Amino acid sequence: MPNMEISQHPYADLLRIEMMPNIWCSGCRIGRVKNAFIEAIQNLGHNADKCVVVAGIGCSSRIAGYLNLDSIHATHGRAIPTALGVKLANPELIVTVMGGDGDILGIGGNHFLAMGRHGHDMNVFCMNNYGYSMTGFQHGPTTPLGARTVTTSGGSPYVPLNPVAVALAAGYTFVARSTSSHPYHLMDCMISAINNRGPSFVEILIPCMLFERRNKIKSLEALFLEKANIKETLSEEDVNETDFSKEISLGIFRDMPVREKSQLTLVKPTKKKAAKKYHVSFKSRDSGIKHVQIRMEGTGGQGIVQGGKTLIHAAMNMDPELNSTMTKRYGPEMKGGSCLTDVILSSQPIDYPFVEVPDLLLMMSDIVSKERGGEVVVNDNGTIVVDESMVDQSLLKDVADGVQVFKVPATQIARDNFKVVVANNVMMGFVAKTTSIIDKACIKAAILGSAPPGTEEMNLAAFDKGYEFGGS
Amino acid sequence: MKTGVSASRYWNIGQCTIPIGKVTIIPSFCKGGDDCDDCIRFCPEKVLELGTVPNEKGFFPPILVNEGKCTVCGRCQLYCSENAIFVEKIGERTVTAEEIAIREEN
Repeated sequence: MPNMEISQHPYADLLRIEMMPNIWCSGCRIGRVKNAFIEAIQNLGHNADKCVVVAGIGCSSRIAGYLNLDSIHATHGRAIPTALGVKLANPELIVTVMGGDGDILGIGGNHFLAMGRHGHDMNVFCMNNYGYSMTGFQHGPTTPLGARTVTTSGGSPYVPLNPVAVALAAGYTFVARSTSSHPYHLMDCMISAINNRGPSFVEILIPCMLFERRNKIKSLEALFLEKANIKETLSEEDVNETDFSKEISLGIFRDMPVREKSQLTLVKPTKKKAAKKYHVSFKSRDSGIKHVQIRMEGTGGQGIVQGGKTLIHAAMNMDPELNSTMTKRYGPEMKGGSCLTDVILSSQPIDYPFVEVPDLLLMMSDIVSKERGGEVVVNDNGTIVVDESMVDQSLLKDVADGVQVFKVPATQIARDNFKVVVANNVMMGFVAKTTSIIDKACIKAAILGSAPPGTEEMNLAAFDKGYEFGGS
Repeated sequence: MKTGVSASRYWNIGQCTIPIGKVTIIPSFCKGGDDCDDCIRFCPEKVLELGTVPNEKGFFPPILVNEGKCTVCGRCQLYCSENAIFVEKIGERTVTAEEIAIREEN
């Protein structure tokens, strides 16, 4: 039951009273950061509806739960991306990310770096308590050298990360360091951070009871008060003054306006010529196809997949009632590996999209049949169209008598007259002439539809070359 | 400033006022005791003192000893992590010459 006295509290408007009292340990000063944030918002006079707090997982991320603002408790380490989504959806909001060092610098470290680079107007308040304290104090990115934690019982062997140095390098436009023991200074830092129009970062050192007990420190709060110097102007040496046993430099390391982003153009814009318009007229008709399986196989880079696309678009041009599928299989290499495309045309719904035994086999290269052990799979009454220049002819000895074999040096023709990439269109022209499955005009229209701008003429010429070769 | 000069020479005592505060402690929220005595430590007027009666969680909330001295600086409510203490302004009073003299000595 909520305490009635708390509703008289000056911060009561911004506190979620039903969640109180909070869960932090006795002697933990995270709550003071929350108070400083509430005072900062009250001083700035911002409407509470315009403020959003996003937090991850951790002790300090519980702040989002106790603030009566729109808040999100995100997954571990992903507070910054979640906040970025909020900011992009409504740029008028004042979005603040609250998190610990383990959440922001450890698990979400890359998001922290990317945040500074992207330059959105968001505030990251990182509470540094030297480790993962919610789970019993494990070693984290900011654990001091030699400090004992659960996972480094003999003392941490690693030099800690300096969050301020990282934020300065990452391009944050506002970087400050404060402690929870100096809440008025912290409040000033928060107000300046919220007023800054770029990505802002404030590192807040907080004393953790578990860290104190494990390392036999009497009071970290007293050390902060004793060793910390709040400075008006900070030098580069002050960035590294973070050791609570020697000296801590507090203050604003950087507060600069957001720079205009200069547009870097790696590719010079070129004036586009008025493209010549090509048009091929075709007539759709009832094809009478019941079930045809077409396989196109060859080496990657010959346009096998593009040939399959041309076939299927041509079939759809010819008979819009036809059902058709296309599947492709190829290895990890873009060029030089085996590659095959399966096209099925059927008047019935197609249940299985892969070709079992092809009726029409277009062999652009023998690499696939060699991988299969020299076997050429084709229907007994089927047709094989072979690229003479690429296929070993001895493979075709074993095919059944009923199989029709056509030969065309498609790659040779393409290389001699145009480029190798149009070999598939030479093959298409030859197929259109020798087999009667798909009409010529439909294939030409399909080639036009998929050819990149500027290459239509070459592709159509290659098709005509193949068509002429079949007619002789 | 010369020593030995009366404070009333520099201050128009009749016009100087100090706010009077009312301190409210919420004992059930407090986690004071061995680890935390922030409100007591940071109070400039020494209004509070560590209590002896434990609350239900076993912590020792502070008790008011000099309530009339509170000047509503708001430090206790900012420093308290648990929001277990807050101050409200209930009035104003004029400053006495002794108070200013003590402050000038400090």
